[in-house]
Amino acid sequence: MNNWYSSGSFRDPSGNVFSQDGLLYRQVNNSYKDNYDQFIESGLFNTLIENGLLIPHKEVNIPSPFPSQTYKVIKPELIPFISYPYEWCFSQLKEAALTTLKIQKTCLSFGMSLKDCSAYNIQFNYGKPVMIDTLSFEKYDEGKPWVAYKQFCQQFLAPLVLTNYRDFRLNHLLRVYLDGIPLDLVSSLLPSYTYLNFSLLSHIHLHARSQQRYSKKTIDTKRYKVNRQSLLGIIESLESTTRKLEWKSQKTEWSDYYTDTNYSAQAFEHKKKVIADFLNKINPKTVWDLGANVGLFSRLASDKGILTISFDNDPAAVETNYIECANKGETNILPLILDLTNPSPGIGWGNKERLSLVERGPTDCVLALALIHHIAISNNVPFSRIAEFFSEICNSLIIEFIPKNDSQIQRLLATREDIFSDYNLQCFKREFSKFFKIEGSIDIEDSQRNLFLMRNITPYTD
Amino acid sequence: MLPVDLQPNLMPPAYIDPGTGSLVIQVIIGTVAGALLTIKVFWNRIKLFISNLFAKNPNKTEDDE
Repeated sequence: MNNWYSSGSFRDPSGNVFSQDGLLYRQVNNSYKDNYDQFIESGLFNTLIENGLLIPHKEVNIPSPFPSQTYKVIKPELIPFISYPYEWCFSQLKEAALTTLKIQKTCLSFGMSLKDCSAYNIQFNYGKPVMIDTLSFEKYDEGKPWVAYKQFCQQFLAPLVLTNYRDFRLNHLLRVYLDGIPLDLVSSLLPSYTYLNFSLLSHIHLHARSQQRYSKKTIDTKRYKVNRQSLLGIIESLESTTRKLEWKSQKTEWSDYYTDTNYSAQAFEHKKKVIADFLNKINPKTVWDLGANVGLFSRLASDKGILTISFDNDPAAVETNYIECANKGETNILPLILDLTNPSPGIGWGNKERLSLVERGPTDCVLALALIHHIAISNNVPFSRIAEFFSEICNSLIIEFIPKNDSQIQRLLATREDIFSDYNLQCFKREFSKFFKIEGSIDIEDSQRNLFLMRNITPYTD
Repeated sequence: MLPVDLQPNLMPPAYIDPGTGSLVIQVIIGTVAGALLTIKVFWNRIKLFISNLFAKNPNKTEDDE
């Protein structure tokens, strides 16, 4: 029997996630028995499932690795790709926040409450945010303040208000502070006029002052009571504050990409046809589109029912991509923010709590369209390194080569010396052939670009 | 009645640190936000009552007029 415990589920004593023979389970500990029973018997579980707010699970009769601690073992539906809040665009984070508040409101109507509010408990499944931690629910005791209030403010409200009032790049702070952005930092970064906004004054500024004031004081917290109506008022206030926060469209490097391209409609249509043909040949279950922009080519895969992760470094492009997914109700595409030259690392305890991009792979197929010239020329990464990295994350590769005389590359070279003598088709094919077998090569009509279909020489198996 | 400290489950320990300052500020914010919510619910009821008062009787047909 092949067992391991999830490296990201060890903090909560209510239970944890483990894998057995390649399947994922969640152990419910004896200490959580009363809460779990109320969660199921009160009807809260069914209501959350019916409303698509919680990942469904089934109780199973298999032995857990620690039977003496175990009350039950459940088998949750598997999320095909785990993503993290620092990879989400603004609207994904906002939707995750609103989903969390909706769950908390539902909990209160069933006499329960969320005992944690981690943004990592929310995942995007079939295009929609769902709670994945089935053990986050506890009995609500009238008068008890919400223990997860601080976590909600730090993990959801903080990055959203920083984006709304300052700059989306501050979202990267979520990668540094796993428990959410410290509120004193958020308070100092926000413009002073936010003190005039009652919600921000209370949930951020006064909240931060209160944390500082009581940081070294020992007080009897039992004296502090928050009645049910007050708690509902806080949740209502957090909800209306979150709803009002908006992504302010910022003109970014790539926001005009498809209206500012240098190739013709004929070339564009031919490129789409070749990619679709290559995808039919590979028949992948999963695709990672690297440098996807707004996901135009990602949809060639996702529209065929292939789970497609649509990565881009530009938050505005990912935002546009996600809004399109949400508006159209697309279920097979997940837009995420990723800087390929510095992909998400393994972070948290032992560098294993949150997985790196590579650890979440490999994928069946990578799309690298109009991408490698940015890596090779803008970031000085040699073809050999690019080929090696791609061979670590995929079995098949659909890759576009753009020659140096292309106006996009000339633009990249306009302000710097051309030290890239190896940037040519011959070197490209030679270096990639060390890791991949080139199975197809098509010249895109009415352009000087080429598309390649490559297969990993040492493919990964399930 | 048991003293507050000995009442079972009134304040079970949380596995995450709720933060003393965060608990204290909730009492203040909750008082204001709870009052605002009460006013909002009450105001919505008044609006509904007034709109029902002036709304046409749905059972009344054109022939009755």
